[in-house]
Amino acid sequence: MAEPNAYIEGILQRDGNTIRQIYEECYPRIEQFILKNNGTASDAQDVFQEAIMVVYANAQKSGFVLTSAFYTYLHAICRNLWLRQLKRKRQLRVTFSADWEYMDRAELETNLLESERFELFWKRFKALGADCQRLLRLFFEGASMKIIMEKMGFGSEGYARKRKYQCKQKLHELIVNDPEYTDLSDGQL
Amino acid sequence: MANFDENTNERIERYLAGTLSAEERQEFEQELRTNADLRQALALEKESRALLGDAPRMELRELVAQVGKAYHQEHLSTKPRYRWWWQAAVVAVLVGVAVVIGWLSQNPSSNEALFAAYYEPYPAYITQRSADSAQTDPVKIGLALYEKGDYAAAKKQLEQVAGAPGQQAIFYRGICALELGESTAAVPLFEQVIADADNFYVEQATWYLALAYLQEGQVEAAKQQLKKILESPNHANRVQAEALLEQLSE
Repeated sequence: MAEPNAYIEGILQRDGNTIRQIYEECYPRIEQFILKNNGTASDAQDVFQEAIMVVYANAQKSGFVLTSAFYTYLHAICRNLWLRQLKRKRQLRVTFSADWEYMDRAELETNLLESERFELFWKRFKALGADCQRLLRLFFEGASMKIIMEKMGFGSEGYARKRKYQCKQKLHELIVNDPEYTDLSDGQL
Repeated sequence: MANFDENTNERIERYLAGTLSAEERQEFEQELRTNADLRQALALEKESRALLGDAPRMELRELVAQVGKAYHQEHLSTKPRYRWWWQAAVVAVLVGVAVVIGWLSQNPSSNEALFAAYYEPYPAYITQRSADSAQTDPVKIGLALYEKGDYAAAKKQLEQVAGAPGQQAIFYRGICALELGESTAAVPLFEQVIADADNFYVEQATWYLALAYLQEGQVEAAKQQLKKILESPNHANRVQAEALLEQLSE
């Protein structure tokens, strides 16, 4: 296995080879863990991808130092994510005050909640059509209507504005109607 | 969520862009105070921009999804073969263990032999975001010593956890006790973790409690504990528990 910080660096650099290596090294064991704990292979795939995004979010913070092996760290994140999901879905009687995973409680919950909300928004975003995705990416990244019109090949700014409104309404409807949207509000976990 | 017309949507966007006139802004803020749907729409708009407008994060998410898809497609075709070999390997190992244990059970010290055959220390899960508390936190220091195999020092360290120690510290103290051959001390520690029920070490503790009984020579208690494990169809140590129970029942 590569040096733990080489994996972190690869994730920060959005390097496909590193992500692939992480899959090869870590995924089978994570899948076993999820399967053993009332999950499916599909759950394992989701948790694994989400965990990589949590690593990314954490690694961006100043003062981040990975002192354990990368797999140990990723596994702990997967465990936390999966436990929180079980708790939400099946009301398992598990609390973080039990200190089952030794992490700073407040920091852990804040980080995971933000990442879980990102995941929810991302999944719903991916449920939109390709055109809406492209348009909204441009809009959310701050592009002007003129740029959006040009890049999308629309005939006028007015039409670009109309399409943006429709796509955004659809996205927000999908997000708000997802049961996780309420579950993942502050104070729910 | 209420569906807002294009004009309201425009107002939300202009409010965030700071392009509403002073009067329009005041009116909008007044409406926010009384209209929960508008507050939700504003919050959604802000969060969508923060999360989905983060280009590097979105690119990475796409990349992870693509790599994941390719990985799973490649492994889908190889999985049945892998499973066949894996199952064959498990059967071979279990047969091997059974043969060795069968031989060992002729020995007067068979309990110790069985314990040695089935016992392995639980891995230390130390997760740290920063080095800040690594030098002072007794749990982190204890687990670092545990990881190095210095069980006596780890146990001492974990015993120093102030206040109401978490079940994690108690669980690892139990493993340290087993490593040091102090099964009498290990039993109540594992029992405490199991009794708490509200933690992630319960399953592991049920298995190590059986081993602690075995190390202590309480064969009947060990068998009862193993039977309890077999009541859980998805228990992580089910296969080992079944094999060990069979050996103890011979």
